[in-house]
Amino acid sequence: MPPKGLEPSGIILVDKPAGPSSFAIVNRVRARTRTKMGHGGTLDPFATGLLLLLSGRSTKLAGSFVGLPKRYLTDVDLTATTSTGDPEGELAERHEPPPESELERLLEGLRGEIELPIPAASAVKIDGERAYRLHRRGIAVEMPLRRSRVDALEVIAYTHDSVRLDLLVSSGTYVRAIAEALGGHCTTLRRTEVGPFSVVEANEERIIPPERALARIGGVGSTEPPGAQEPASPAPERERQ
Amino acid sequence: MTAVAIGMFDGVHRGHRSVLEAALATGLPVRVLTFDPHPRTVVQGNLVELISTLERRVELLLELGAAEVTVLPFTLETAALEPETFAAEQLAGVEVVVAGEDFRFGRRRRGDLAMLDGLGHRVVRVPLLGGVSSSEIRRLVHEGDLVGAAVQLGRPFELDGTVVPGDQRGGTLGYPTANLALDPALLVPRYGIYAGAAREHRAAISIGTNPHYGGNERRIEPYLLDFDGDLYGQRLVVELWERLRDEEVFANEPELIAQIARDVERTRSASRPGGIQRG
Repeated sequence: MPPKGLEPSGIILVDKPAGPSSFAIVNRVRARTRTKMGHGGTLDPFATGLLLLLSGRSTKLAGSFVGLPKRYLTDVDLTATTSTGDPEGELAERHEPPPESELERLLEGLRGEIELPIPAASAVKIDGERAYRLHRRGIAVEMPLRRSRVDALEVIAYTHDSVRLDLLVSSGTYVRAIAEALGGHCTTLRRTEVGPFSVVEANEERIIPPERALARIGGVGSTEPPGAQEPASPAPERERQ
Repeated sequence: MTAVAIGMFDGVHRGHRSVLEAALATGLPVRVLTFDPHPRTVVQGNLVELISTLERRVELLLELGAAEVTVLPFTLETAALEPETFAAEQLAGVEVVVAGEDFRFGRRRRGDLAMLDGLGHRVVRVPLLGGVSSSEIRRLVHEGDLVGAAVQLGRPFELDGTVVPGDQRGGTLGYPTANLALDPALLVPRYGIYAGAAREHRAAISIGTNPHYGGNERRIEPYLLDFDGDLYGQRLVVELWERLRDEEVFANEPELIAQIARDVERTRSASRPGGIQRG
């Protein structure tokens, strides 16, 4: 009989809806598995998409999964910035959207190895308050720059006022900082992939055994070649926009 | 999933950095859990002179690689919490907790890392760095030993404030200074003249009452070398590198101006202690 809370061990892929916090999802799944439960990176409440949960003994493997590249789909409102770079902040500034040629130029500057300021609201919380409210308390933090790698940044749809982007970025890249660099803010944000895992495989009922999950990321202890297909899954098509 | 580094981190000195480095070494994103105001101020009612402002503390922690900083307002209610309650409220679901080995929390400081270990957290206990402590830094800064303080901090000591209108006297002397207003809770070095830097410019800084002019109010006045700009109303972070001399009363104004010129020359050749040259 294994020690309580360590089994079942493995990776659970969840498609988070907009609204609840990532921790609410972790708690909900934990209530069912009755195991220790960790995660491979949170999503803000307004965001949707792939959460990678680590169950039982596999919580120890978090270090192997938190650094994976991420793929996102986001709608950016190009006519206004908000204090947080997302719809939850206060309107900061309204302006004319950039002409298409200017948008193209801005996007080109965001591809490759780039430095972006960390959105303050992501990084600093005082008693659960997001940082944008802290200005009222006289607290203005100068956010340091973080190095990011943007491997893909493609326009999926474009109207004069908004743009839908498909991005493949290194772990720790804030999509909101990219929206801010375009002079806008994210109105939607959906994580479609974490490393080799796609949101179309999300299934809360299924636990991917740790050795199989590690094999897919080419991690330590893998017994299968990297990229080996997950046979228990219904051979999902990878999401390609 | 995150590693949580917990502590006061006032000044973010070398000991604090070793705690953060141990947290980063787990390979997990690091969230720092810190407090404001200083718990000793709340519990004992004594003012603890802060080495850094809260803003600067957060900035330094983020620069060192923390992914997130959570600041918990520290109140008498926080202090009265049983440590088990505090852990349940603030550390629920946290896999890895990292802190200095002397970390204590909760009512009567009964909670410690062994307790968190017993509550099921993976605990990383970081040994104290010999001789490095916030109180030692306060002592060195009081004495005006900014080089000693920088060794402990791993960077120069800083004053972080807002530029406000002053006496407008420096301008008439040929050395326009900024008048820096500080939160009264902050640590300030022994009165005197210091060499340092602000906004990537070297700076000569006067701290004290300007006795030559019979002042009795404390003023902190950096003169930024080769700087021409308006700083009014802006935040200014001033690095203090080295103590140059005491405040003095001069026989006449030309003597004062000649001394300022010598201070400025010494500021040009001063070196930045405690780390790599930036400005």
